[in-house]
Amino acid sequence: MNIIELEKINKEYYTKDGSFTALKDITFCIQEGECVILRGISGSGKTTLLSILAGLDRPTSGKITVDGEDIAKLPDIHLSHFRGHHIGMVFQHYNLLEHLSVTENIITPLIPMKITPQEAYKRAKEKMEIANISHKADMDTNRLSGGEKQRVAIARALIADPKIILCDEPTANLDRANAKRFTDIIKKLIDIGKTVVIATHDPLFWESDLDIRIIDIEDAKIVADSKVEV
Amino acid sequence: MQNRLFLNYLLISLLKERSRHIGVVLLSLLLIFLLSSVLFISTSIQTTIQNAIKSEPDFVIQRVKGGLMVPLPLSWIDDIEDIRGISTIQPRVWGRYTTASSEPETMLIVGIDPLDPQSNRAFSKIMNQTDIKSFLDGNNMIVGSDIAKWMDMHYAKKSYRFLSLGGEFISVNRFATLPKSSNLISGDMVIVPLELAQKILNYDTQNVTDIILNVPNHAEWSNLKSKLEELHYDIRVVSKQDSIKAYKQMFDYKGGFFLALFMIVLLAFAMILYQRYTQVLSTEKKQIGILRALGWSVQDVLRLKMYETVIVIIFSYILAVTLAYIYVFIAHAPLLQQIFLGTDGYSGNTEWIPVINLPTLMSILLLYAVPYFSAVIIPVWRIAVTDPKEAML
Repeated sequence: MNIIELEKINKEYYTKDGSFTALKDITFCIQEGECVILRGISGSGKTTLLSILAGLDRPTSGKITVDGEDIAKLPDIHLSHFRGHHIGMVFQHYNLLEHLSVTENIITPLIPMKITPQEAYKRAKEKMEIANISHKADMDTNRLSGGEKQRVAIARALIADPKIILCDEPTANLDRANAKRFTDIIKKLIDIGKTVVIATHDPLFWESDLDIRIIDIEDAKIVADSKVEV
Repeated sequence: MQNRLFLNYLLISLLKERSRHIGVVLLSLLLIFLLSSVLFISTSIQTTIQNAIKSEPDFVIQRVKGGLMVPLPLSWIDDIEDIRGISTIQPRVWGRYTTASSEPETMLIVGIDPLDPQSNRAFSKIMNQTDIKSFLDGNNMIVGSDIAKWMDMHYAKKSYRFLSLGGEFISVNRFATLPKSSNLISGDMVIVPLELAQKILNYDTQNVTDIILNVPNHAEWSNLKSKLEELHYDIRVVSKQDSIKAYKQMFDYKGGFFLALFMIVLLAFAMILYQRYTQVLSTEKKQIGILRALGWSVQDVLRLKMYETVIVIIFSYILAVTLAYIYVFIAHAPLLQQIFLGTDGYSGNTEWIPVINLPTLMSILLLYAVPYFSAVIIPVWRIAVTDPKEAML
């Protein structure tokens, strides 16, 4: 069953010097539980594509259906709600709220959802176990290492139990040991049925033992789509 | 009703980001404290003046010769009595008495007839607490608290010897002290029975300082004033309105000070607002972008920031007003008291009547809250409606 469907997605940016095409005629589907790597060099358009999948950006034209919802047409308030409930995002620079502790950062997406504090902290505990960051639960995030920050970001992405996890260059700021630890967590997520989309050009992913599908993007277009099975 | 998780998060967020709010809170605290203190003092002065005005007679008749106020004969009362519409006529004896020491002090000697209703109205508080019979029995005086303090320092704890113009010493016992709350009006006052005042001020029994009268029909005031002025060529008629004007002018020049202070406060406040506005645009931009990316709607972000701002506003406002109240009415406003009343004379002993002018306090709250709220919410809204991706950069 397709959880993500993109049909002729185009994205153009308009500047004083003219327009710039970031994505051109992107069409593909992702099945539920699949792990997809969007591969391409910097500036190829993979981060823009990921932002459109996350509902952080809207396409200039085309249709994008995520979990049965045409998100390009959703008004802002519903799109925010959709983002909070259906998508977990792990950013390249983690984007944590530095003044808050690990637990407080993790529960942040739950605040608009009107659930009880007990339920929120219970969920945070579970997700910290998955992301292997429970031992730093009360520490302020500005005192964490890069690898630890990323694990907080993963726990935060999982807190609302979304079906889809999107990761933008997740290993770009990590050393090898931490990058390897990250792929182990991704494996766990796939095992529990999450759909994972990763924008990266780090070979670690296609050299790992993950069952992945690689979509190559070059100059705003898809140039290859292949399955790598272990 | 907000959900508990939201309130929990709001408090954590406020506490953990206290360093961001503390500067603004302290500055706002100082400005609101200053404004409220000045407001408390000026309202207290106005109330004291209003209380004094309430006991003022409708007309005061004086005699002016050669540009000087001179005693007038009691026979004038007979002339005035013939005019219709006057309810009460009373003679008064009062005057300044300056001590002959190396550091002279000036007192206002006021002769009263405790059985006269007009005197009773003016000194109702004291008269209610005074044993009038004992007061009239001997040479007794009731003194203002500044004079009481001065007499204590000059070995006159029980009595004071006044030196009359004829060279005679008149020993007067201290019967009671006026309350400090009336010090603004009565700090330098010495209240004595009418005859004793005549003795001290060297009046003969047929002369008085002025005559006071009341006219119940206010519509007749201007008419009556003309009739009174026609009685004698050297008569001076002071109406209640003239007295009110004179009282008001006593503190009118403080308006300039208040205006200057107000302008400084406004300028400082404008700087705080600008600082807060730019702070939101610079430091809180990323935070808002992250919240939006995590599924917070524009309304959710605005709600968090609105609650944060309201808490900061209410906290600093209540704290500042409470501190101002303590400073003015409990600590008697050191420094500001000198600015309002001057450093000379007896004014350092003033106790302000606690009066709270709610409409003005609400105006200060609005003057503070509305621009501050806008300085936070407008940039927050501007950031929240932009692309979260852009805000997070």
